[in-house]
Amino acid sequence: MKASLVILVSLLYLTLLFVIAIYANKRNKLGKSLVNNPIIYALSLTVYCTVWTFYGSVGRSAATGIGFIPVYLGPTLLMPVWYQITRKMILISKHQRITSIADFISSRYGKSTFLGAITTLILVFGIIPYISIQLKAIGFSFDIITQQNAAGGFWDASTFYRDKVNYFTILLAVFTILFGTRSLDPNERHEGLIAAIAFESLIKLIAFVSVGIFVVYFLFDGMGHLFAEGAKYKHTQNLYTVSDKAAFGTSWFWVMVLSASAVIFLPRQFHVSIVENQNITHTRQASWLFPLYLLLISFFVMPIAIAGKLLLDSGVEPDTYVLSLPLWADAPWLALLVYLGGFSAAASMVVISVIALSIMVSNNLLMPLLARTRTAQVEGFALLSERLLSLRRIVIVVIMFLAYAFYKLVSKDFPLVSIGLISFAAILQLVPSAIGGMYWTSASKKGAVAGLLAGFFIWFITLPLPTLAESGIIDADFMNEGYFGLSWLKPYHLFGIEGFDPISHACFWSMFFNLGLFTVISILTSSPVEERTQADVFVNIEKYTGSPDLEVIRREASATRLKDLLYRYLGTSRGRLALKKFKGQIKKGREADDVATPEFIAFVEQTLTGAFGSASAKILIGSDIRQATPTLDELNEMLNQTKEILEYSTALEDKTRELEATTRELNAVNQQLKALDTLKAEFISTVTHELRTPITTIRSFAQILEKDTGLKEEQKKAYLNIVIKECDRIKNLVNQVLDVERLDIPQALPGNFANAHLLLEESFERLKPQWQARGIEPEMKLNAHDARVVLADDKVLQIFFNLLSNAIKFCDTEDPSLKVISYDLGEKGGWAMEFINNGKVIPHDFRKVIFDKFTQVQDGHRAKPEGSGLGLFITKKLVESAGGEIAVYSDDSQGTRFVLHFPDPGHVDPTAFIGFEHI
Amino acid sequence: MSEEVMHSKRKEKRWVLFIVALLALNPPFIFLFNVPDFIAGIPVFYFYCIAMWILLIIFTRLVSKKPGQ
Repeated sequence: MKASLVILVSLLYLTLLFVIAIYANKRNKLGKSLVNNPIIYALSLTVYCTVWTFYGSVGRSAATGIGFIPVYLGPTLLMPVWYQITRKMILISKHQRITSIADFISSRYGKSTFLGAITTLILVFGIIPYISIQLKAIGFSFDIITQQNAAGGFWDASTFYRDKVNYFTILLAVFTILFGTRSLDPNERHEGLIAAIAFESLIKLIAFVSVGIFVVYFLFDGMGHLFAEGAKYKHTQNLYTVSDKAAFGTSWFWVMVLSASAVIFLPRQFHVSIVENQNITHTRQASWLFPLYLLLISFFVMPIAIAGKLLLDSGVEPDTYVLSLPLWADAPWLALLVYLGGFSAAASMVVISVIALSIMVSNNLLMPLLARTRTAQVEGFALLSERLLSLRRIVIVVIMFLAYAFYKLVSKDFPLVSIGLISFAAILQLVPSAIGGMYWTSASKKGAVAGLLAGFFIWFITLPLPTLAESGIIDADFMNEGYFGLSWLKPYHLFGIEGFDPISHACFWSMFFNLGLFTVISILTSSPVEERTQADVFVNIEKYTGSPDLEVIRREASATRLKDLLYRYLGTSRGRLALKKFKGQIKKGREADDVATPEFIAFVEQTLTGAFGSASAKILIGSDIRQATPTLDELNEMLNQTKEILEYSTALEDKTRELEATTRELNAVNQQLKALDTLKAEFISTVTHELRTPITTIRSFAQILEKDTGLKEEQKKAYLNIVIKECDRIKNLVNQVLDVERLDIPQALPGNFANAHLLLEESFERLKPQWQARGIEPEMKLNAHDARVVLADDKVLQIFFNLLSNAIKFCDTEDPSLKVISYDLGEKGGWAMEFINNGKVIPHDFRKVIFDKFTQVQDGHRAKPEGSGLGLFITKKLVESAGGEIAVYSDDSQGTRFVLHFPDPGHVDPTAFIGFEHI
Repeated sequence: MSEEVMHSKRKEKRWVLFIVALLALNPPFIFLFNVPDFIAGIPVFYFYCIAMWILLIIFTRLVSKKPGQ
């Protein structure tokens, strides 16, 4: 085919792409976006498929059979999770106005300028070889379709102007500048470009599938026939299975890892999937449309490789089979379609990659430097945005030139895939800090810097340097002797490791140091506030979406200054437009006093971030915003707020504790009430029983007296005596009950003292019949010097009666002993009196309630207890009304002791009024 | 089932799909198909990869559908 025709077709094709782009931009301005749909989004993602896929896969397959597949299976199997990761990255990037992967990493680690710069450098170094293979493919496809090699024609590259790759490089650079630097969009969106890319993706697919069908169904009779033919020859049959499983398996795994990370983090993939994303829901469809595209474009790779090996001369480069086969079969129009497909693959990759790189280089490398020189801030200086566009144009040209140089020096001697994989291995270095940054709050800038630098260094000495040596550009001595002649530093066998292919070897060691340093340093270091704020935004982006920037640090700025900033850096018209947009969203009149609201500061910052990258924006705006240095007052205010919150929460805790205590008390009271209720019921049955016994007696004697008239006078008297006694019993009982009732009413003190010792003796005298009947010989040791009690005599008698009659009642029946002692309490003041008997030990549980109302000894061995169960209760109340205390002790050695303490009479005013404590 | 539960279920399904695919498409499992034979005229290894690829796309589509679709 004539070279002029091919050149003409190429130019027409580029023109068509332009028309598509312009049309898409027009549609967009009318609000009817062509691009805003999931199919276009998925097609734009297939910028992943470059000439590597279009020409290189077949070359790879011709050497390794299915060894080409992991580059596509990796992304395919990642897709279910890619969906989630990408959505998160989109949310983060939209929120933070991130426009490149370098910006993403820089922004995550506290908008670090340094990190943005090194990421950019790694990417530029990493991607240039990749771009160079696109140039190479365009070159050889042109040669083949115009049959230059066969004819030894004009384009033999003998002089500069006869090398067609020069012209293609220039053409692509111009094309990129026209597409990518027409205007400065704060979101870096290029609708027209995406439409053109999607169109190119379709052409790639149609061209490749056409060749596939042509080869399989026209040159052969279908798949079965083709593979059967291949099975006849050793050099093709070898490709059906794998012989060196270990090497194949290792390479398979690492290439999968590489391609899976590349599909997310390649600058052009980040650009189309994140920056150009119009609607986050498009990822849903794309997650299966994209792998479907990969499958379709890979399906015929192996058959074409086999066919090429079978049909073509062994001198033909396998990378060119796709184009050579239709030419061999004399199908020039199909060959032209293939040429256009390959051209599309190369052009779309180059344009998007270079635009993405130029955004990074200008925003993350040059702008920060420029902004630091402060010339940018001198009034009257040319608009920075204009400078930025020209800056980008220069960057595009430089990158294209570097790629061209790399092609000239290195790539022309290597298969496409082997160079492409070197680039993938560079991209892999971003994975720890990018993915770690999205899911791990502790990931720190220091860790990221260390990991990236170490990974990049290992990558550099294990892949590009050896490749340069192999192509003879640098001295190759170190390949066999190791760096610096150290045998453990051989570039393909670091630390003496054997059995890895160069790519797997580089991946393993670079990840070993990258991931290792990143994680360990992140754990060991702490980060400043701004970094932690960003970390939180990235990891917990769901929290932030839909709300404006959460201001952690209060910032202040002059609204007019900020407006000036916008005008200066965006240009007056775009600055106005942006302001108009913002003003619609905020309340009016808030800027009257020239103090910018936090929302306005955030808005200006984000707008500038969109235009120049986060690191640059930080520098541009830095001098105008007072941030991170709150005044003492503000600090105090913040502290106070914190303190208030703390106090509030402490108060709440206290309240909770109080409530818990109250609940416990209430529970206890409830228990008491229940017990009391039971006691009352028992009391009623006891009292009624006690009342009934004497009444029954009285009634029976009265009956006898009434009926039996022949009774002797003596007997009658005796009977009447019994009746009287029983009546007294009833009276006593009723009195006791009344006593209890009366105890609840406050009473005045008697006004004089009772002599306790005298009254005790009187009590013994009165109770003589009882203790004598039991055979008790009471002992008394009364040593208290001033045993006076501030109580009425009868009350004191009642106390002693109760205690003594109890003591007598419960004395041991075999060998009874009863002792009463009194003594001074010494320093504590007051005096004590003890009633000691040797009766049965009172159980501990019972001792606790012995002074309660209605308590009676529950004892199976004894007969039904006598009394009302009020005696000790009344006793206790009486003792307490005299300011005293009563306690009971009971054990085997000392017997049962009721101990009374009374206050020193010298300190008591007998005329004072003491209220009774209610129960 | 609440939307949130559905959402996390779907998330789990995506991870399970990813892990299963990772195991099924890596050594040593893939070497089970490393035999010099043909299925429908296509070498077994190649056939296996393509078949898994198709299955994976179908399942990815299933787990990425909108809830309720």
